[in-house]
Amino acid sequence: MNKLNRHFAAVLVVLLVAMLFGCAPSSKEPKESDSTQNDSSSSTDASQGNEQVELILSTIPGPVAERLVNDVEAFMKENPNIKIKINEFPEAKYMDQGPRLFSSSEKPDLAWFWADADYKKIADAGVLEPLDDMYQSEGWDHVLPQSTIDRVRAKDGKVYAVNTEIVWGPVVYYNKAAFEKAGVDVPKTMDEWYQIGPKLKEVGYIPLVSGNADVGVLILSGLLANSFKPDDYVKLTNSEIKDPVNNYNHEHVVNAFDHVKKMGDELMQKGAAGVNDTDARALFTQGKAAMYSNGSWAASDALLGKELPKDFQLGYFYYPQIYNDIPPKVAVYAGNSLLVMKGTGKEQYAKKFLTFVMSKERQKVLAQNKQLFPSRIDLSQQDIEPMGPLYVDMYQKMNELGVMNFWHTEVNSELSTAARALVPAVMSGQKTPQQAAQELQSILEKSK
Amino acid sequence: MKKIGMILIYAFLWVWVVLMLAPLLYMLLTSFKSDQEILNSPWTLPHKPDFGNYIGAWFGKGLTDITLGTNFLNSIVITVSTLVFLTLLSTLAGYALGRHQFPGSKFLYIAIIGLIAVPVHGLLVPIWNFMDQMAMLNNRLAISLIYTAFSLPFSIVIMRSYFESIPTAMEEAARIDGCKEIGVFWHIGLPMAKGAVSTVIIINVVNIWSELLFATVLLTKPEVRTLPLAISLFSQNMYSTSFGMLFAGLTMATLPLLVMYFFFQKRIVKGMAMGALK
Amino acid sequence: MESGMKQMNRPVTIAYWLKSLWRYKVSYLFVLPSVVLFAVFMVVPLVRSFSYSLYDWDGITSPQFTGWENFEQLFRDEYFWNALKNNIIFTVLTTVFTCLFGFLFAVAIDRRLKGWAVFKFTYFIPVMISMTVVGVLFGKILEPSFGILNSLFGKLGLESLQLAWLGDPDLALYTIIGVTVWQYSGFTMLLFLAAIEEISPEIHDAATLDGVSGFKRMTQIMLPIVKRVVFMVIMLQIIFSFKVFDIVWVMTLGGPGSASEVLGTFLYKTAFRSEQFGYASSISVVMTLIIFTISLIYLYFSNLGRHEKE
Repeated sequence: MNKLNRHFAAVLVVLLVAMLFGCAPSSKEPKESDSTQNDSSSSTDASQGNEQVELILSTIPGPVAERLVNDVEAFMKENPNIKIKINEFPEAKYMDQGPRLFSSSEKPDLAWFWADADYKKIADAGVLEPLDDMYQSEGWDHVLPQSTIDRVRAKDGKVYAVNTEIVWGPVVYYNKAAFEKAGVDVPKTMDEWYQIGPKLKEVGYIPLVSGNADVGVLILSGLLANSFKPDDYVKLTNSEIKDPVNNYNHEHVVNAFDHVKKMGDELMQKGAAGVNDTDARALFTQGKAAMYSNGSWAASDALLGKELPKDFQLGYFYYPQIYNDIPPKVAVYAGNSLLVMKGTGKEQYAKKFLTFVMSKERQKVLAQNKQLFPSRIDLSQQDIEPMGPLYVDMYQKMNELGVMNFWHTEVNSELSTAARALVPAVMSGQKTPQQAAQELQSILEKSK
Repeated sequence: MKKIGMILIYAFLWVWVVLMLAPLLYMLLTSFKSDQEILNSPWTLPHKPDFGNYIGAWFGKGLTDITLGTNFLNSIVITVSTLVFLTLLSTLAGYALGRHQFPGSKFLYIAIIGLIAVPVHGLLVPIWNFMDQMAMLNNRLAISLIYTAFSLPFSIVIMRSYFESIPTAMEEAARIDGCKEIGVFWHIGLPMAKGAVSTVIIINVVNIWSELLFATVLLTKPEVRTLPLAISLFSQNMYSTSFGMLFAGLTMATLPLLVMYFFFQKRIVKGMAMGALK
Repeated sequence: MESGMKQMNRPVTIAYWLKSLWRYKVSYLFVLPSVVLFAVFMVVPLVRSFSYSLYDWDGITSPQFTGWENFEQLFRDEYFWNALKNNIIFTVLTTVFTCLFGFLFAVAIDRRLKGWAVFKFTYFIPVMISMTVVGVLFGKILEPSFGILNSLFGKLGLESLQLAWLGDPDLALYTIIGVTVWQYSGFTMLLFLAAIEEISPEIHDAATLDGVSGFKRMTQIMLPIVKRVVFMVIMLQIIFSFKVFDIVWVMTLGGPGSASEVLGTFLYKTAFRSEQFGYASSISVVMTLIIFTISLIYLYFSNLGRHEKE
């Protein structure tokens, strides 16, 4: 009996170990017919265009992924020898782990990423493939705004990413039926906004919901954009304003945090500080909240487009005016980009995909799929129309009002990380607006 | 007086029974509802059992060929091999520490107890760097070994404690009969320790199965992700408001362990009883 | 007990060590695999992370040596003290309640109160559910506007109880503690049960004969006998709950703001969100030292306990 048990155990262990070893690093799934192309070893047989090549593209889920899926499918049809696998990471995790992932042995071949401070770090570290030649050969330097191109320039003057879509915000989506029921109009000033709160509550709606726990910083960025004249705003994000005190202790910044608290107290539901974006949006789509604050991407078919009932009348407005002498603006972000990793041996194929995504045709398709707004500025009104009346109207209004960059994408990651926590902290009363502003200032001073 | 006391006590106990079961029941029922139903009528039974959530959760978005089944398999492979390693190594070490006297055994034992203290999330970055250099990211064997290492200290303490407390008569007899140490261990020590081994397994299985931090960081490819990891990514996906699918995923992540519990229930109690507490 | 080698009077030469190695080769072989795993996956990374704490490093660019600066900054950091405070509150309350409830449950089962089999079965179920699932599930249950808890209170007319369980900074931490107690009371129960069931029936018979009532019996007779196990379970709970990360992360991410921040989440955020690995490593060092101290205290007292028994 003992011997039997012993042999059985031994066999079991051997089997398990064999199974593990057999399915080590580049694991193959029985269903997939491809080979083990996923190592980062230098070029295998990538010279001829006829060889089977597999690329890995990492991205976040949602509208970005939906759009990439469309592009990948179309691309693979035209290029049957290239297979692209999409690897999704939750947004927060991707933001945290992305830079490390891109410099590791498990790096993807292509990545969608934000062209912000982290991107600059990895570009400077030499992890990415320069794309200057493509900007010229594909003519991207003519169809993207100069500011967008400069955004992705690294210390060595080269560019390592290309902007694939633009997003803007914050946008307040609202339930037209709810507004009618309460007899209120779209607010033009912050005071008006606070005033419609009670009326909406009277007819049974939570006036405003927003993902404060995870994307609360959008609110702050929106308020800040409306708190400074354009020149001063640029100085703020560059840390240059010198007021009687200094930067973030400027009274308009403190007021912005004040409004954050007020919005939470007067317009949002109890415990709003802890609500994440998914739950907030669910409240809106299920008709329990009248307004939902997020960005332009929420209007895409992957989100509100899909989640709202057919008969829902969706409206929008941008954050209202705060100060009489400062007209409201919209914040825009042209940093959503595709990057190519260096040293995979498949750079040329990755670049081919980039060309494909950035082509006029695909950008038109992007509009037709109603996911995100194309980054190329040479598209005509007609090309954009398929995005739907709401989206097109948002775009036009945005241009009318004028745009500035999002505060939280311009400053260093320490400031934006702190702000991400400060918004719910102020909303829930853990910190006063003054304390929050002071904290940002301390971080700024330390990093100088 | 005593009666009131007893009534209160019973009330307390039964309230807890309800408290412990209710959330699970809620999870199960909700997984069968459509999203509209979930928000609007959280209390009712589902109108009709809708397996759509389960199908959706299982197949994901169809972006890849990876289904929850793949993740499930990964979890099983990793958990089982970790438990095998853990059992082997902890019984070996526990036996040596509890039975043999050898120079350094006390020091080693204290060091092992010290290792229980280590907050493993502090080790995340160095281990990641190490795995990266060895190109062993996304390697299930590697993560198995890591889990084993993390679970060993406590398990060794349990095993040692057990071995210390059982009588040595049979082993003495075996030695007199000429058995070598390894033989003594394998034929006598190990079989006797079945109870303690059960304890070690039960105590560790949940933590290993549902370990999230290292799995998230070290398993970046979808095809090697574990089940709890896949579910957590699903729930962190701020772009999907399908609560029904989320709950279906949660239920599926829970079932394996619960099934294990139902089957091994008797063993668990016996194991704990024989265990380590002496 | 076998007599060990009295090593006091041997000359400590290299020959001696080699001889010992060979003589006890089987023992060393037995512990070798474990030692190797420890070295590779715990000791070396630990030392590495200790050394990171002396640098200023963001994970991508090259590190800069800063000596004790990270620690100085840490002790001046209000977020650190906040996390430490929350951690202590969490540890104390979780330990107290899981042990208290666990013990009560165990006694109820041991004394075969009516329905004891149901208790035994049910109380342990939550333990078998992964923390992440528990966190996500309760996150949805406790959602202030459409979670079933608040909607239940609404139906019962208890509107005042419809609180923002995870969104109110004063409540969040305690809510998480409650959920943890929900999950782990069954775990301590089982450990206590094993010990309590060992109490010989004669003692119980004697107690019954003497007319000792339930409560007195529990506290004055049963408790002292299983004192050692109780002590061990308490210490274990303290150590494990001090390291908490998963459940807080999943339920509130340490928020709102930093209302429910604990050392584990603080460490993660510092390392990966603000990308200060050096600073994060210093947090890791402090955490390890604290828990290590607690473990030493446990060891000290448990040895004492052992002698007492004898």
